[in-house]
Amino acid sequence: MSLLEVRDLRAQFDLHTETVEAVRSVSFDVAAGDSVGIVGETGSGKSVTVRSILGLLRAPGRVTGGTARFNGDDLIGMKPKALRRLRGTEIGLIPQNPFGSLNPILTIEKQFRNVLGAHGQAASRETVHGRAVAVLESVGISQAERVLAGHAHQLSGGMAQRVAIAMAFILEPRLIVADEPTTALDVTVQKQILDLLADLIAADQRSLLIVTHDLGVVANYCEKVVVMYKGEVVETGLVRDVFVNPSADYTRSLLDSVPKPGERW
Amino acid sequence: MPLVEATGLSKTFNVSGREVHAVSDVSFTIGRGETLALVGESGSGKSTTGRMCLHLLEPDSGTVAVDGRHVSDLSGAELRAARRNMTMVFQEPYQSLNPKMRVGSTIEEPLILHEPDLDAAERRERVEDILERVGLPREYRLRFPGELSGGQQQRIGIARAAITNPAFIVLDEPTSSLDLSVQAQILRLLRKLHSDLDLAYLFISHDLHTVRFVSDRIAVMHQGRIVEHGTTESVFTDPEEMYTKTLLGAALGITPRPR
Repeated sequence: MSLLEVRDLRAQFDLHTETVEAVRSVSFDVAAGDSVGIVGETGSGKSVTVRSILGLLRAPGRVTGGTARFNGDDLIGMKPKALRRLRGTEIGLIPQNPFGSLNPILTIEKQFRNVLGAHGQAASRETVHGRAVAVLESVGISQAERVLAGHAHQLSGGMAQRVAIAMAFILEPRLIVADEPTTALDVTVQKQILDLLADLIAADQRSLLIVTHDLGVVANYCEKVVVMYKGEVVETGLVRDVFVNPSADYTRSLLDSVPKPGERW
Repeated sequence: MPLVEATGLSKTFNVSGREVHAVSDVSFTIGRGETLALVGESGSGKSTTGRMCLHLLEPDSGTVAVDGRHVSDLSGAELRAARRNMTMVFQEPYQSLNPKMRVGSTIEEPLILHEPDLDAAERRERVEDILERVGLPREYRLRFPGELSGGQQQRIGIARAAITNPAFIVLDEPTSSLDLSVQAQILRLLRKLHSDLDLAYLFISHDLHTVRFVSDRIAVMHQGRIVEHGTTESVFTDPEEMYTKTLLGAALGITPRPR
C-alpha cells in the first residue's frame, strides 16, 4: 500500500452558466520515499487535484467522487477537524507564495508558536524557540535568531520560502505537498530551494508531491511524473521513461515546446 | 553602423530615501536584423535598460542612438515620430491592452499617430493584414481583450508593435507569462516577423533556454551591470564570469537527472 493512493478523483466547479469538470477521474500513487511531480499547463487541473485531496477546495468548486487514501484513511469526506489535524502533522504544505502564507503582522517566532500550538504541541517559550532555531538552521538559515525576531517583509523571497519550508517541516510530516514552490523565485534561488527540499526529503525517507508547470523541475527533482491535460491524467510513469519516451501525444508536444540546447529558431 | 547603439547608460532610482543603482554604465550595439538577448535575474536592471533604449525612461547619463540619431537629442514631437521605428512588446499582454477598446482600435492607434495620411478604409486594411500576419482571423479586430486567451492577447501586443513596420522592437519577457505550448507558438511568430521584416530585437528574458534559442548575442546582466557579453554559443559553451556559470548551472534542463 502506498502512502497516498488517489483513485478516480473528480472535482467540478458549479458556475452560474455552466459546470466545469476540472478534475476527471484522476488516479495516482505516492509511495513512501517517492518524489512525484504533477505537471500540466494552466487549467489542466493540477492544483485543483491537490486542493481536493487536502480538503482545501473552495466553493464553487467541490469534489464529486473518488478516494484519496492517506495511510489507508480516505481524506475525501473526512471530517474537517480530523483533516486539519493531518495537515501539518502528517502532510506538510509549501505554498507558491510564502508571503501569502506568512502573517505580515506577527513575528516569525510567534508564527512557529502558533503552528505548534494548533497541533497540540504548545510548549514553553524556550522549548518552542529551541525547536524553531533548530528547524531554521536545518533549512540553511544561519541567522535564525534574527529571523525569528523579525517579520515576513524583512525577508527576501528565497529566505521567506525557506521559512515556509521550515514551518512545514517542524512537525515532521511524512508527505510534503508543494504547489509551484519556486515559480515566484529567480533561477539561482529556485535551484537552492529545490536542492534543499530534495535533501530534506531524502534524509528521512519522506515523500514529496510537487505541482508544477516547469518540466525542468520534474526532470531534475522527481522520480515519477503525472502529466495532466484538461482535467485528466494523460500519462504517468517514471520520469526517466516518460521524458525520454513519452507515450501520450500531449506529453510529446509539451516536451517539444522546450527549446533544446544548440537548437536555433 | 549598428542600428542601435547604447553607450554608458546609467539609472539610479530613489527608493524611500535610498539610492538604488538600477543600471550602471551599460553599453551595447544591435545590428539591423540582429537579436541581442539581455539576460539576468529580477532586479538586474534588464527591463530598465530596455525602457531607456526607447526613452520610455530618461537615463541619468549615457546615450542611445537609433539609426544614427541620438534619441535623447530629439524634441517631444521628434521622439514621438521616432517611435514609429522602435516599439515594445510587454510581458503581461492583458495589462498592456485597454480592456474597453476593441483590439482593432488598439492596433490602429499607432497608424493614426504615425501615418495620418491614411484614411479609415486604408487603416482597416492594414489592421486586418497585421492580424493575419500574427496568426489571427481578420474578424478579431472587433473583439475585446477579455475575450481572448493569453497567447492571443500577446499576438495583439505584437501586432500593435509591428504595424508601423519598425526596424527595432524591445521584447520584455514576451513569453514569460504564457503556458509552455503557447510560448513555442509566440516564439515561432516572433521569428517569422523577424525574418519577414528584417527586425532587430532586444530580447529581455530570465529564461536561458529561450535566450539560447533566439539570440545571436547575449549580454548577461547582474546588479545593474553587463558582466559578460558575447555570441550566444560562446557564452553558453565557454562562460568566463563566475556569475554566468552560476546562472547556467541553475537552469534546469529537461533531461532526467540520473539517480
